[in-house]
Amino acid sequence: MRKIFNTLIMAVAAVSLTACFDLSEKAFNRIEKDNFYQNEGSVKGAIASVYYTAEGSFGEYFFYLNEFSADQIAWRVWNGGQWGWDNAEKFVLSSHTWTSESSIIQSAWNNTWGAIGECNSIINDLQTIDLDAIGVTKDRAAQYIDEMKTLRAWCYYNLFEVWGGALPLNTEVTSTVPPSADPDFDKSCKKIWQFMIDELDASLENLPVQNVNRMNQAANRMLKARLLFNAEVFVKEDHYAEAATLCQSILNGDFGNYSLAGDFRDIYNITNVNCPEIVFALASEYGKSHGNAYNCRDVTFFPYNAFGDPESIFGSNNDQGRWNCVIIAPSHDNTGTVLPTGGTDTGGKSFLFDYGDKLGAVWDRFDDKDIRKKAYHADTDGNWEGLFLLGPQVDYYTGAALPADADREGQDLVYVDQVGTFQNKGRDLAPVMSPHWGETNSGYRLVRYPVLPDVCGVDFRNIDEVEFRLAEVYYMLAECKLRAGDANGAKDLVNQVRKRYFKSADWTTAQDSPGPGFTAFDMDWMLNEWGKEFLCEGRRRRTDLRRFDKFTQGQWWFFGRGEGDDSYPAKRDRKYEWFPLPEAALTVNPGLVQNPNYVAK
Amino acid sequence: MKRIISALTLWLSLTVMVFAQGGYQVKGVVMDSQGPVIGATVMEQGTSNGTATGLDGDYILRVSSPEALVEISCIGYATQVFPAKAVPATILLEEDSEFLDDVVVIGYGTLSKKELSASVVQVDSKDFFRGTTNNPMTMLTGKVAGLNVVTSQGSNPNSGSDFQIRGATSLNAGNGPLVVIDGIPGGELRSLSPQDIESMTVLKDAASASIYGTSGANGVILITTKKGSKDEPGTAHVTYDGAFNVNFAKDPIPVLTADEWVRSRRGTDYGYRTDWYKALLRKFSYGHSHYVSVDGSTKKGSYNASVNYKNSLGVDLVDAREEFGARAALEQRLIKDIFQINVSLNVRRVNEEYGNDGSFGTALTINPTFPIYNEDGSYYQPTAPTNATNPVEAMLNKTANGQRLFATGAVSLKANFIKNDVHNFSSTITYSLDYNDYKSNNYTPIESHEKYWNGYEGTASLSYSKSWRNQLEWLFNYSFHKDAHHINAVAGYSYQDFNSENMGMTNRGFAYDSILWNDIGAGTARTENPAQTSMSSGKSLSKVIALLARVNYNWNNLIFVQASIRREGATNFGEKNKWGNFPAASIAWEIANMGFMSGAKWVNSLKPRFSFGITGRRGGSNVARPTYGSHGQYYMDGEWIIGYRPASNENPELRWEKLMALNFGVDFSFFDNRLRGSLDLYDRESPDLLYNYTAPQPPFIHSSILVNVGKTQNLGAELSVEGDIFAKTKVKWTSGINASVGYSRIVTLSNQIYGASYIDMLGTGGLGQTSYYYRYTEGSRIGQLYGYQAAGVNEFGDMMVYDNEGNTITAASANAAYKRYIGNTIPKLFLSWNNTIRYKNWDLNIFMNGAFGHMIYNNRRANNLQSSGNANVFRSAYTTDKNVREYGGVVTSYFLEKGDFMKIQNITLGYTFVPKQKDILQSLRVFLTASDLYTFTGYTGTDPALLSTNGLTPGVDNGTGYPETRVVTLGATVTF
Repeated sequence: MRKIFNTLIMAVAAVSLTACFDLSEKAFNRIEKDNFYQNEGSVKGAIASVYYTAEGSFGEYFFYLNEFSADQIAWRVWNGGQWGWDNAEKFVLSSHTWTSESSIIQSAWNNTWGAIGECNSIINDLQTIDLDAIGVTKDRAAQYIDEMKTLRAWCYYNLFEVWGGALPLNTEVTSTVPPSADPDFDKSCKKIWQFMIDELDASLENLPVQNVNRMNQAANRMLKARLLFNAEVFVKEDHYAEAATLCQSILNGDFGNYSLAGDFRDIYNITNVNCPEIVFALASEYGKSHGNAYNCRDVTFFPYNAFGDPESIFGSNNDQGRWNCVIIAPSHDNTGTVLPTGGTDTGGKSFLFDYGDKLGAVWDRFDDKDIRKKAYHADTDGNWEGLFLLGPQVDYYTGAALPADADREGQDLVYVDQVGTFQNKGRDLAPVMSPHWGETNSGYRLVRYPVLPDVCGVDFRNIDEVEFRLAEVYYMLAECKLRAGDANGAKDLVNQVRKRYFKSADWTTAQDSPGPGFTAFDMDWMLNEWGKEFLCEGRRRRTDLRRFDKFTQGQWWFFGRGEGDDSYPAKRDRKYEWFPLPEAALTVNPGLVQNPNYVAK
Repeated sequence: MKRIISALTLWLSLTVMVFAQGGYQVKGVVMDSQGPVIGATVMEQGTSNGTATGLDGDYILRVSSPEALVEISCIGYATQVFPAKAVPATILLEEDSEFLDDVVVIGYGTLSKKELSASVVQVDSKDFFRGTTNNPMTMLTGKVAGLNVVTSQGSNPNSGSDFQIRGATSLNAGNGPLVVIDGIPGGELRSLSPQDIESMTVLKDAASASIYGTSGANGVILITTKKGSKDEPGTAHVTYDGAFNVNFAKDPIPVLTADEWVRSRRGTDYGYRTDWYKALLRKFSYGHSHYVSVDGSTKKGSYNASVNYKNSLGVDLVDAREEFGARAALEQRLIKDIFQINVSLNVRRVNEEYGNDGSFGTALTINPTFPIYNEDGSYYQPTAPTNATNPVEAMLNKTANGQRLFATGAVSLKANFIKNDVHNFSSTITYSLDYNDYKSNNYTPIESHEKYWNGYEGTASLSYSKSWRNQLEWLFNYSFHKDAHHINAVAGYSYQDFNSENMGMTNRGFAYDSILWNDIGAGTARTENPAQTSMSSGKSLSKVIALLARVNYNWNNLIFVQASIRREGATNFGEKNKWGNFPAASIAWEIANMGFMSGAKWVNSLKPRFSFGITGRRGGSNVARPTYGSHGQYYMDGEWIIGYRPASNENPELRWEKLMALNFGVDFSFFDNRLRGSLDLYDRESPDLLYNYTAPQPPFIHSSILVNVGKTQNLGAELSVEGDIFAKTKVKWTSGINASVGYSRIVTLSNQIYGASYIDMLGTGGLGQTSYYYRYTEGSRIGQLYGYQAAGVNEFGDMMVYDNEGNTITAASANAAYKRYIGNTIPKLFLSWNNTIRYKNWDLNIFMNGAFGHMIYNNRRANNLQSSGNANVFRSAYTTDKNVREYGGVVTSYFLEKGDFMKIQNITLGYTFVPKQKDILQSLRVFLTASDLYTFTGYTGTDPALLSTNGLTPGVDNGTGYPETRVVTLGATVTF
């Protein structure tokens, strides 16, 4: 009896002592790591998160890095150089003056490594957890693993285009901090490039065919084609022939049945997932995913009265912020007499026709007969035409002039294809001004994804954002042929795509024209066509300008033409070909080797 | 010494013995060190027979017998009891002041003031500021050197105060002190009625605060509430305390009048002339509060119960706050006083109505030619410029309110095991529950600016949060007094858990405004536009467990030593670092009691003291461990799937922030205690600072990780001096000064792994802006503003700044590399000056405080230049700043101004009446207080006394434009 009593006392004491000093932590709105995988739904949840992470990164930061730094789109500052200046974070991209401290470079880095870390973790988990316990078959797991490997390769690809050989390679779930793939930048480029090719090849077979919102076989092959096609830039090797073969194989339908859209609008409409040209698009829905609106294709261009009730440009009212910060590169300088509405009476001299630029000058580079070269307008049935906001902006329903804000408040909003301080706010109007000084009516705006009036019941933010489409394969193959000396073959392939932009009556002459300002079906023409076809689709720097060695060596718009602190060199230092590793990443990882061009000598 | 006094009183009493018929008459004079005491109570103990002293301190009382006990008491003095036959002719009351045997509350116990060896300051209720207050903490403004209280919007009853002890040393674990209410840490000050507070004690150094472990690094404020009376059993007092205050709005910073605005051609003249600011002001803004308490004692215990009510209306049209509070405290002794039970309960209900502070800012800048209303009586809604809203509409055209409930209950059982002259040994178990919840409701009607700018047709939102803490403490107390040795010791166990839950929801698209938020599911957005709606909830729990011990030793009233240790663990920390030790020690030497000082009678006390301690701070919960949380959605297999991923980067090494502090001080009192004060010098180093550092990616998923890396140092000195300038005259004048100087700096920001070359703080805001006011690097002083050095304006009116070569360039084209430290926003000196003048029953208190040697960034001026928008601007845009057209949207030294100020914070005139016959009325006090009277400053923006001088990012004047006020309060306290 006494023994029992003693034991009881001891037990009570032991329990209460443990309870009295128990410091284990409990989470209520999170799931303990060890309990995470419950069924296949958990695996899908983890995968959904990777797409979501990647979408935020590729849609926003990589778009900035690859479009603002190139010739067709610019970040504009207004209101006397104040509004949109943003500590020059985006302006440094437009002017090629970034450093390793630039915050966009940092953000691009952070988000993508997050996605890669998530891929690593899922691949590792699916190889180690008890699959039977969560009811996932081995085959199904293998499919998920390959989907993650392809997605991871795409993440690496995006990083690689920006940083090249400065990158580390990490495929493990570890606490060890990996150094750059190789201390030698070029060797490192080769290692990472080869890694991506191997991964894409190895993960191809299990991927689905024609699954437009998920990694699929054709996306996998297009990614490999990009690696081969740009190999000269990436690893200083010529793989054009292999690229051509692979492109032909994709066109042959070896990885799914795709075809060009007859009407280019099908690519950008709400139903674009059904468009036969789309290989992969990031699923978008406002409030669920990031939405293409966040992906900067539209709202960065729009003024405050783009949406509203009762007045708006689009006849649409929603709570999406409008940035009013981005313009398409102007076609004209500011010579002539200033008009009260902004711009000059002569419309200025053309960068394309008068200065001979083959870059920038977006509006002038489009053929006058091109059906895209028009003011954007949508009717109440959801039909739309044109890509640009230009000239006087009016209310969708009443046609009444809409007002400008900021530096032109109290006046009508009239967009001109010039960039300058037409009212002298902040400084005198110079013939060529940088986007630092673009008054609020400066520059035409783009409507990449259509914004329909509210009566159509379509929220433009729900349109899926296209990342891989078949036209790119045609263009890659065309350029391979051109480089191989087959200009006619190149022209034919490009024309197969271009045909949809012309009325049949116009096409007869258009098909044999290399476009305004161009004289032959040569490399300049090819780059011009790349620019028009993929305008504002996030790849101008990466797959286009650099392959033609125009990124730092080509001249457009303000480069080489400004005065005083507007002066930026006609040719930039080649160090800007690759971006520097972000300073913060270097600080915490001593094994990272900075891109040698950015190391102070 | 005591023996001499007793002998003296005995001798005196013998000489004044007077026998009279039918009892025994006692008479004499009651004096204190400064002269006669008016209104002291002279009672026959155990009866209601008593009187009060007259103007000369004289009294006559007839008691039942020569053996009857006569009790002489007076607020602020130690009560004395004599047998009637032994009452001295002149009774010398000993002031219950800090320089005598005053008891000071310290963590987990009390200590005699003279035995203190750490830096502890106690303020008793008689020294609190009276008048209306949003937060009891404001009653301490300027009262304690080194404690800085900033109340940015005193005239909005729903706004709070911010307080800080010594300099800021933490980067992101917070710099606010721990508040302990009657031994329950983490209490909410606003749950108390100011009248219920007996005293507030500030533990300034680590030696006194380290007994609170990871809660103590920012100092501790101990609040002691009133307990039952210690009077003779059976007596009871009823006290009524009431006040009525009126708020007078001061004029705002002048903007252009409507006519000036039209003449300046800033924009379209819509034909009206509207004074927007005035349109937002309430015609009569006032508040009143009422408090009734009953306290008394029984044979075996005591009780205190009070109820209170407070109603305040802000100076704006809407803000209002109503509070109902009740409190009870009971003490009961059992079984020959071996056991003692204490029970207390405090409940407070608060109803808040919210205006819209932002409306005042808009009122100053919106086009003054807009009308307030359309002709049909509806609100006029501007359509330009971008996002302009009618400020009257924004304030009135919505319903927003909140309800709070505070409840604190505690029960304790004390057992006295040994109780004799030498040994005292007892143990106390206390359980307490502290609960508060808050529900807020918002509704913006269908026709509002939100519809125009965002397309929302009626927005309802509800949010609810509650938090509660359980605490169990088991303490053992031991004391030993024999000959020259006095020991006080405490040891114990402490358990606390911190729980919180919250939920919130927003829906839009309503058909009827009248339903408000009460049928929130009826909004159409829930089904038609889910992205415009939201729904959220959360729950968290963290625990802190500790063992603690402290010993105080007093040798012969000459040497005082204190040593303590707390071993504490918390769930917040990483697996590898759950427990930490927080030791402290201090020593003091009372030189005045040394033999060699016997010649210097003018020195009443001279006590140097030295202390050292380690204390800490905790971070948030669930940050150290690997857990999965929801993250976005993606479209998979025909449906949207909620994503999940690891919620944060794991850090099993995560631990507490440390604060290691040295304090050297000296307490002094000279000339019959007429000049008294203390001086403190401190050096506080805070290593292992928690901060979210860039995580190495790869391999980490998240870009930041919470780690212990940086270190700050805070050095400073505090001086507190008080003197009785006129003491022995009819008019008495006491004057005191509190002064503190100090600064904090960043020592390191990096270790071997994690590094930051700088930390940016306080974003400047603005469209697409990612720049900051502060950049801290190793060696930076806290408060260093980071921006461009201004170099005037060019011929176009562009702000010019210097580049690194000394050339001038426009601010708008300046490169971030040209930024530098342009000024410091932390005052070098805080000063307060308190004066009390007494004449007969009248008293007058004048209190001023100020801060000196700092800069303020006048961002309001920067945002009010001629070029800023098309709406209205400050007049300064056309006077002092008329040459600046564009300032470049960046931080430049041009808008830095000296922040020095001295403010007449409070003037109180009081009258105290103590009737001779106390049968009904015990005492009456009436006072008239004027607060926030006038600020002497050269600063041109918001009253600098309202701008924060605390934390890491003080001194940027982003004032909302909410009116500054003068407040006049009339109040009375009556005790029956």
